[in-house]
Amino acid sequence: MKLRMMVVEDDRDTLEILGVVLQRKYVDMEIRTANNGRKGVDLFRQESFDIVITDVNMPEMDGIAMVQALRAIKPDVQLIFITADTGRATVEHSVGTGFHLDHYIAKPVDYKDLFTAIEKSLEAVNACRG
Amino acid sequence: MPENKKSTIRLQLCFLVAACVLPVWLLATVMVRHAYVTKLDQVNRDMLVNARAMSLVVDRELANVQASLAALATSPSFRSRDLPALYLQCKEILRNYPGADIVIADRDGQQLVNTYRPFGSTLPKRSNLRMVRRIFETGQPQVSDLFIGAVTRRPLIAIDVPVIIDGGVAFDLSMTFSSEKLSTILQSRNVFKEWYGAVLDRNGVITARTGNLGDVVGKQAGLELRRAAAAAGEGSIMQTFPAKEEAFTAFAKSSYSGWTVAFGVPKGLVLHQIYLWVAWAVAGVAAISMLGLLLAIFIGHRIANDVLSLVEPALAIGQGRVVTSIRSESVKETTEVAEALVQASHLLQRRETERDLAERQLSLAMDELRSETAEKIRALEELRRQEQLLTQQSRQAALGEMIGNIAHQWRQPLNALGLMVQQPPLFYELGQVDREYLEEHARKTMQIVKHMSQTIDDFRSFFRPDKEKVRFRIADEVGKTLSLVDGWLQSLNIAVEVKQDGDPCIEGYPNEFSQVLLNILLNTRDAFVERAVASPRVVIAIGEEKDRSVVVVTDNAGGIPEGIIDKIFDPYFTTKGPQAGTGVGLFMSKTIIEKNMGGVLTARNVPGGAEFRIEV
Repeated sequence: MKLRMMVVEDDRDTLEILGVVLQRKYVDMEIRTANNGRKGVDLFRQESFDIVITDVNMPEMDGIAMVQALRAIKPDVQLIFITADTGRATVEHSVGTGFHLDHYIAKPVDYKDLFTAIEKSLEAVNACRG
Repeated sequence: MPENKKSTIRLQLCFLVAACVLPVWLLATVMVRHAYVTKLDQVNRDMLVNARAMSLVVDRELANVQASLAALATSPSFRSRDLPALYLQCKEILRNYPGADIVIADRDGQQLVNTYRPFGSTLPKRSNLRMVRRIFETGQPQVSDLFIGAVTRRPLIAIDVPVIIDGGVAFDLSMTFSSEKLSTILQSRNVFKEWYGAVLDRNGVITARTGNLGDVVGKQAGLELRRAAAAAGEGSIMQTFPAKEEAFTAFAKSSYSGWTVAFGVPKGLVLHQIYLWVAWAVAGVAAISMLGLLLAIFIGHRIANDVLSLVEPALAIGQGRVVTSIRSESVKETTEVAEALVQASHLLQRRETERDLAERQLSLAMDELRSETAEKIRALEELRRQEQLLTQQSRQAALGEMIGNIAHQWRQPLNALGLMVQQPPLFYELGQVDREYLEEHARKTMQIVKHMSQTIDDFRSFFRPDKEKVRFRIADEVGKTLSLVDGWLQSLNIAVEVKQDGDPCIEGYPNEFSQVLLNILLNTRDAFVERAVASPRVVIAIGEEKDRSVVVVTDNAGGIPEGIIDKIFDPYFTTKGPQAGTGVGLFMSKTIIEKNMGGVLTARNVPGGAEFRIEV
């Protein structure tokens, strides 16, 4: 079964670029995108994802609110935050315990950091699946 | 009046004296004239009185003679024609009349007795037969005119009385006497020696006269006198003597004898006296006048000196010097003026002192005022500096806000750009780099770069100061402002609705107007964040009311607390704490709308939120 990954980002360009690059990099994974938190939650409900990469500041529903909703649906979902404005402490506080520091990536995003975070998340997913 | 035409006080005083003296002179002239007339009249009256008196004297004398004769006429010797006895009786009577003679004549005028001759001498007829006839005709006493005696051959005067015997006139009893007798009587009158007197008979013949008798006795008196005497009983005339001077003459006629007594005074004599009197009077007046003028000049000199003594002190006072005393002695008024000048001098001195004091006080007040003004200018400068600071702070706040916005606006495309930049090596490793990819990659990258450049242009335009008022569409500025804050509007999930009623344009500074909108939106945003509003919403209504353009920004952030709604436009008023706000934004917004653009910016609470209203 293919691993599934969702990218939630309100900036159209970023979302498009991330979608294309991650798909080409992780050919074996199912990559989906959503441009705000609410759509992300909806998509998550429909399809369920192993890894969610999300922006924090977004219209309709921000990243924090969204991941709280996603955790409610799937507690072991791997989360990677990409944020420009919100401090790491705020994200950690909002998301709660168990959130790994490596899963916090500041904009502008360096692919190496992102890929590292994805790799770690994949390891975690695989470990769970055992 | 020119200075040199002005008369001196001396001259004025002389005029005054002349003005006083002139009526006196006129009066004196009138009085002299009156005196002249009166004196002439007096002379005439004196002469007339004397003429009357003399006339009476002559009459009395003649009456005495007549009485004596009348007594003799009753002598019985007439009846008996006892001529020797009568001769003796006549001689007896003549003892009382020295120089006189008595003649007794009969009806024919034959002299029977003549005391001038010894008794028994042969006697002629009377020379004055007319008079004898009249005695016998009238039986009344008669006074003769002057005649020449038949015996004596002297000028004589006769008084005849009838001698009545048995009811008829029997004799003419006559006493003759020389006209010298009357002359003596005239001389005896106590009159001025310059006067001359004369007695005229009924024919106007001079019978007696003062002075040299021989020359004039028996001659006709002057024509004027004779005419006047014939016309009136008494009067005054101016008689002209041939080859002689004129004379004032008064005459009086005797009722008894019909003779006239006249007194005359040479005109020259009378006039000499009067002229002398007049001359004395004129001289006296002239002397008194001259004395008055001299006195006036003297007094005028003193007054003028007194007045002139005031000039120098007055000039000194005029020059601001102090005058302690002025020598002015003779005239009370100038002394008073001098005292007044001294007082004025003291007053001036006092005033000067007061003025100096006042000037000093004024100077102090000026200094104080100057320092106050300087203080106020400093305060104004401070205020201006504060305003500049405010403006600067406002600009810095706006700049900070804008930088924040740019940062926000740029963060996403910058992130996208970063991703794009990292893409080629990544794709190269994946073996997916081809020409098509590179072209697409370049296009995409440039698209993001252009977007970022546009953002910069927008902000730069926003920060460019408006140099002059232009006409702009409100809707354009609303749109531009919203595009600038689009970043955080989206990130905060703030819904913005623009309602447009009409397309109002206004005169003003578009960037400043945008700044105002931005400040309002920033306040709204801060309220949304602070109060964590669930569905933040902003409605921007653009419209026209009457002749004004109106922009109303309404939010649903819960409104402004009533306690601070009056202060939100005050400078440095903020509820956000030092990190978040400077308290300058709304103050600057009000300044921009109300001072720079002549509009009104107000704020009030509406259900659920606040409403900011811009009217321009």
